[in-house]
Amino acid sequence: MPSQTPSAVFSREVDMYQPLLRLFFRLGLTVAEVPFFGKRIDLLFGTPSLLSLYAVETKLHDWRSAFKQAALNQLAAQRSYIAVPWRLATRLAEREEDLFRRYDVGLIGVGEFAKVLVLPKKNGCFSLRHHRILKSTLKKTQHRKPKTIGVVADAIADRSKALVVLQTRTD
Amino acid sequence: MPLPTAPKPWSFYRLGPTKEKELFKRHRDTYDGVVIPAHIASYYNKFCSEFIGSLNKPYFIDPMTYIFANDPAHLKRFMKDKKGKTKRDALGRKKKGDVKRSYSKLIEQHYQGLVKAAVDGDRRLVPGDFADAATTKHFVLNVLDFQRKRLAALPAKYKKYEKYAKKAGKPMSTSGNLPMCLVAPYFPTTALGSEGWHATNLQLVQQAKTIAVSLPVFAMILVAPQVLAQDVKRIAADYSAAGADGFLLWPDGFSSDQDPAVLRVVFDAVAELSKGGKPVILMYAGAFSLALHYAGLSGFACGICYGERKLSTEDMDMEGGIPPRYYLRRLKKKVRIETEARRIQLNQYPDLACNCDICQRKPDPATQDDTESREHFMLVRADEIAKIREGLSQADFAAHLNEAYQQHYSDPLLRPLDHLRNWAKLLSE
Repeated sequence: MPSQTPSAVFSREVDMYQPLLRLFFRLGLTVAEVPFFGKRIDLLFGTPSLLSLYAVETKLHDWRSAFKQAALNQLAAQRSYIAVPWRLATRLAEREEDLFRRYDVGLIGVGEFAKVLVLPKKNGCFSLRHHRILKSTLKKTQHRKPKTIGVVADAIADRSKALVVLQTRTD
Repeated sequence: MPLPTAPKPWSFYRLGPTKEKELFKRHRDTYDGVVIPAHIASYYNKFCSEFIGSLNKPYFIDPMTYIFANDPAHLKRFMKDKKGKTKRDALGRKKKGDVKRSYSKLIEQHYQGLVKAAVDGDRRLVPGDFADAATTKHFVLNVLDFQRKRLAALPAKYKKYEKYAKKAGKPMSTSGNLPMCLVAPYFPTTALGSEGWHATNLQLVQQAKTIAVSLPVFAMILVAPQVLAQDVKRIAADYSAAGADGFLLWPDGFSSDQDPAVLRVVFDAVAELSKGGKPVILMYAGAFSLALHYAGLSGFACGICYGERKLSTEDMDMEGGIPPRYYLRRLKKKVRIETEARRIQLNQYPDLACNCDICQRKPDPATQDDTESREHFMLVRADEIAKIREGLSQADFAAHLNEAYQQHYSDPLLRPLDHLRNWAKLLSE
């Protein structure tokens, strides 16, 4: 992991996915656009057994709406993050760290690489029922062939596909 | 049944899924009238007649004629699998079947004429279809006749109570359970030029006035907010000149959380329409309607805790039910029970606590079911209206909104709350 993440210019949220996939590559399962009670979780990383789930909400600018969604994702995922462009992330880490810690939401800065700036925590909002619902949604992807992000980026960006299994190693 | 006699603002609920019947009955003191969509009144005639007959509340039927000016595919049902999910073709497009049964009954048995011709020809109605006076008159007659008669006959099972009603000195109406008003057929006004529906809509209101002798005729003004912004004075003047006895305002696609400019347009439109003293009722109305009372709004209609925005051109496909939501009175917004109410932990916000009967029984909103959350909505909305009827001033209402905004705007879980600031600002201007 590099100590510094150079800024990159992203025009779409999906453009931030590649560095995020590299960050979580050890977990094994990566699914984008995961339906969850009428919304979609942008990226969900999980161990193959699905015992541990890590949810990531991406946003280029409106980090507050990503933050709220990340807080809701805590109902079903043990760890929940927002991922924003590096410059915004460093500003948030500096000025809003208390907020992230208070709600146990993690913060990831994304540039050429992705880096966790505030670690998330599993909190009392975790609900086994919601977790099971999310797991049963993920089980639908069991036999799907993982795709490279480049192939499905447009479909993710225009939200025309749900439950897209992504190749964890992209390079 | 005449117009509501309660002080304004009047609250109307639009009849939706049939499991609402008990809610309407159990909480009949929390609202002033009922709106029944024509296709529901047509298809579920017996249910609606009994329901309306037993409710003894003012009602009117929305003739839903706008839908025939939409893409004809909107009249067709989405094909569903056994789980209620919409079937898709190989390209992922949603599959459509034949014309929805509720609409086909309305078309075949009631509206007939030029509506039937358009649907049979798989095309939308256009203003040119109303060029012939006799055909147009026949159409207006059918639409009004349907509204007047469809639910007016009291169900036979109530006849046996007639003698008891007489003995009690409250004779049952012999003329039947008439609607409080008839709604002239209407189509969406997207522009006031000669190509649009505006002139035809006015013509339909005028014809309806000549046909409906004993009942007031209301004009449904279905109009895009940007048209309202440009031409509200002319629209109000034209509809008043057409002789409408009241107005049902449907700003197409409008919702209470829109930006201040759009809120201002609707506020001004209500003020303009209400200048003549005729009732103005907002359709598909959210909590902003409470603020619109101060512009002269007489009443508003929505579903019970849903249906607070509708775009006339939207092809609605319901996959599964509407998720239960809990109305936060102080914040004038709803949160989803399954996720938001559970995560926010509302019991940590004393000022958001509710003391309605439902919440006293189940203080944690996250544990309320769909029925309970909707009962809560009915009770709370009735109380909000009661406060206005008791004389809550515009300045005080604005101050309440502003206080709630200032207290909670920075809370990441309660956001967005911009609507509170926008409404307060508009009321303070």
